[in-house]
Amino acid sequence: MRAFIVRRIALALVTLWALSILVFAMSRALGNPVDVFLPIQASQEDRQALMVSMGLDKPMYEQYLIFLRDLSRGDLGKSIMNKRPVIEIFRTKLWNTLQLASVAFLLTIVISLPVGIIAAVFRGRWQDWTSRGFAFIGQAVPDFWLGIMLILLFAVYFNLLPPAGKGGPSHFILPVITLGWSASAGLIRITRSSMLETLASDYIRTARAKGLGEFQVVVGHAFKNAFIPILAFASGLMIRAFIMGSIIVETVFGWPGVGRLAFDAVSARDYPLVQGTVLMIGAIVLVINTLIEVAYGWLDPRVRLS
Amino acid sequence: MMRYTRVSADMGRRIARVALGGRFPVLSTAMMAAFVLAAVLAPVLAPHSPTKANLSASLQPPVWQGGTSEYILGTDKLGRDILTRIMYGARTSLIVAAISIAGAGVLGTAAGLLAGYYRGWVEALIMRWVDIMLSCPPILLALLFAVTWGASLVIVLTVVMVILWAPYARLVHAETLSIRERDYILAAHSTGVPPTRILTFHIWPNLLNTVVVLATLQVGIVVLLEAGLSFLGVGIPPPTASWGIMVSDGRQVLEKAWWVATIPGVTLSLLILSVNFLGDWLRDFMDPTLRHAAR
Repeated sequence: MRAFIVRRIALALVTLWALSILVFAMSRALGNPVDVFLPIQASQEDRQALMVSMGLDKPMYEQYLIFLRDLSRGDLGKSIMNKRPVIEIFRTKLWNTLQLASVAFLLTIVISLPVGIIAAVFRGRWQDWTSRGFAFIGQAVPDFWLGIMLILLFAVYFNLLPPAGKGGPSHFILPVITLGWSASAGLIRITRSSMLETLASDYIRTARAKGLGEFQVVVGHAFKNAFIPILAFASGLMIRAFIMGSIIVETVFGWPGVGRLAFDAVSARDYPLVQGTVLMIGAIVLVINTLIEVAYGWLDPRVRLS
Repeated sequence: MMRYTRVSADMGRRIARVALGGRFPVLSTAMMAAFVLAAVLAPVLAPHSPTKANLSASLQPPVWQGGTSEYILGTDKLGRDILTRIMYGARTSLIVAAISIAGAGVLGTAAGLLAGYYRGWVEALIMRWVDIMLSCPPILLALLFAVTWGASLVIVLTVVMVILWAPYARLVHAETLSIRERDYILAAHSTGVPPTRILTFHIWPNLLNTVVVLATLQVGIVVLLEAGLSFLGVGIPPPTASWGIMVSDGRQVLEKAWWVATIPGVTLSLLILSVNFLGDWLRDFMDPTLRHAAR
């Protein structure tokens, strides 16, 4: 187990390091970064002075080490748009994204697990086909378009819900549906197949043979065993989908989170902000993934020994 | 004699299962064929230019909403025919899918073969790199690339390929590991067949099924990814027709003209639906053990 954890953490660190090199290389591929900060009429001396003050006269590997040192202190540079530190802007937006993602996460689980179980229990009947149809459509409909259609229907035509922005609970409804549908599609399919597998095993037959009620067999025996792989497998997938999806969903719904921040930064060509945001989102995805993999390996020995 | 009857009974059961459980998706195949035809024949069939603005025909409704048959599916804000742009958009989607999946497939298969066959540090290096790529979020990569070099078709292809080769490598690696232990490979070794020949003539043909199935399952992912990137403005740059851009254009005029955003999304969903149906069917038909390998 310890070896497994060490291996996962080492892999995460290597990935993070690769990401930092990528971001650093990109920032230098842009040409001289001082040009971004200086007015066009700046003199050669001004340029030189700024380059020295930013450490750009040093060799490349030294610049990278400085970049890493700043990174380890949480210094991601300053935004060009509003001159504030990138990390500070990111922190103010992160909470909004977490709120949206966690509501979507909970709701997806609460809806998908029962639907997946019902589909498995009533395999081949209309309940199965309905839930599979729901899942199939969820996987085919692009989230950015789904969001716009929901706005068109519920905000423009029926005027029931706010089309954009963050406010009361009603502001959550449309973004959460948009984020949750495709994620729940995957979760329903996994739950269904995992339940089908469990329901076919011998101890379920034994449970039925000793006269347990169907509900107790399905929920008390089968689901308990099918649940752990479902949750471990799906949560990683879903968190990834939510953090990635947040870029699109927050853009569509004008939600003031980190996804929208990344989009705005790209539109404004605010390089330090783009790089900082990408690095931070990447790091968050990585940390969560690693935690889930470790938890999964702890719950299921087959994973850590493979 | 007995053996042959058993085999044919198995075959019969298999065909029956395919026919009942995973019916051949006629509708999806027809839909796919229609999309491919529209894409290939767009320059011939399309009634208008996909990029030329015609402001006097701005925001014409579709024909069933009081529009004219000149613009069957209506026009966008710049007066461009939506049907035409849908056809050219299909072209964009399918070109991106074809090139990037072919590229990623070749790269990933080669990497997986090398890792599985040579083992040792080659394997360690390639498979760690695969792990890194699999944990790398594609949209972030696209944002980074786009802000550095600007949005373009080449950037989209690069991003998609950089992300998509990894699943092939992982799958091919696993398969190669088991194939290389088989007796006929040992026999080939002992008779002095060179490694490159073993890889290309003895191992690779056995992987073909798996790779084809994975490629089919990836078409939907790639088309969605391209549309999403273009929607965010980091994919195909306007004025080229892409369904993602069309939805994004339609968002600006949502209250006045519902059709501009709605129609490209419907076609996009239909394409993904039929590709997924076909992919699932092909997977069950060719290789039932692949069920969990696709991303």
